[in-house]
Amino acid sequence: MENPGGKKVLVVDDSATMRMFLTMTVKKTLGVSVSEAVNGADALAKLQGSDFDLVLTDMVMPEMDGVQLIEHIRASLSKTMPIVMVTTKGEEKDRDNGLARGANSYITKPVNAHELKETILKLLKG
Amino acid sequence: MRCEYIGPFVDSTIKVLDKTIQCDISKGNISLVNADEIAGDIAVIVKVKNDSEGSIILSMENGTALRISKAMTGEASEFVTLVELDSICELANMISGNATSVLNDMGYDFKVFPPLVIERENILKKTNGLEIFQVPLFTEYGEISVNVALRTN
Repeated sequence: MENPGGKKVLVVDDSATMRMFLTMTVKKTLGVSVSEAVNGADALAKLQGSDFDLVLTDMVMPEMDGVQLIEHIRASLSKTMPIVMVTTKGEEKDRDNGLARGANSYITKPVNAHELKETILKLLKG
Repeated sequence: MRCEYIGPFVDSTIKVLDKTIQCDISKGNISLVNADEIAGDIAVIVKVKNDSEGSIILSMENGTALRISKAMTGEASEFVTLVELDSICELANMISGNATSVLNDMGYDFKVFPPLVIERENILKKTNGLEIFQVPLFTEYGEISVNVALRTN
């Protein structure tokens, strides 16, 4: 899938900068449509109201963190929708926890645009 | 303070800047400074605990923060707003995460806390009389100062 245009990605991060950075990068490199959520609870509300093809989520967030979000998605929304965690070095425990709870992949901050593109493309291909 | 604590924070700053905003960076000389010699309009502090206690402070002029934030978010602003402060905090978050990971791999036990924007007049109080090692980094976006104030426990 070289042109995933038409696919919908949900970016979840409590940092406005990271949301803007990830949205800008994903739109520019993949041409997909992107929505944003500020934490896990906000993401769940958005996921319940619309169909998304992939979720890109930070791990450490207030209200509902990345691991809890992954658990909720897998338990009640989708067993198969790809979930990519965006982690900082030093968050290895959260990352392992997220993978165990059903995340498909992870990328480490600072995010490399090429790595992000390839990771998303691979998962959207199924 | 152990000298080996300084390198990972400076190296991580260079690595994160290089990866995040893709710019050429040159490193200035290390110096021992007082809290009132930490230059710049904006300072972001990361508290450190466990094997070492103290803080890492990233400081820069407003113009540098505006240019870095624009490179990170794609959004230009004439003034420093919450978005620009968030950008610098996010940089500090990545830097401290990378640096503590390196230090913990070396066998130390470092725990860092989320970055906070700090008022200039509070720097002295927050560094609590610790010696501060400062390394200036020169980039096309402006100068960024990495200040390491840590006590070995």
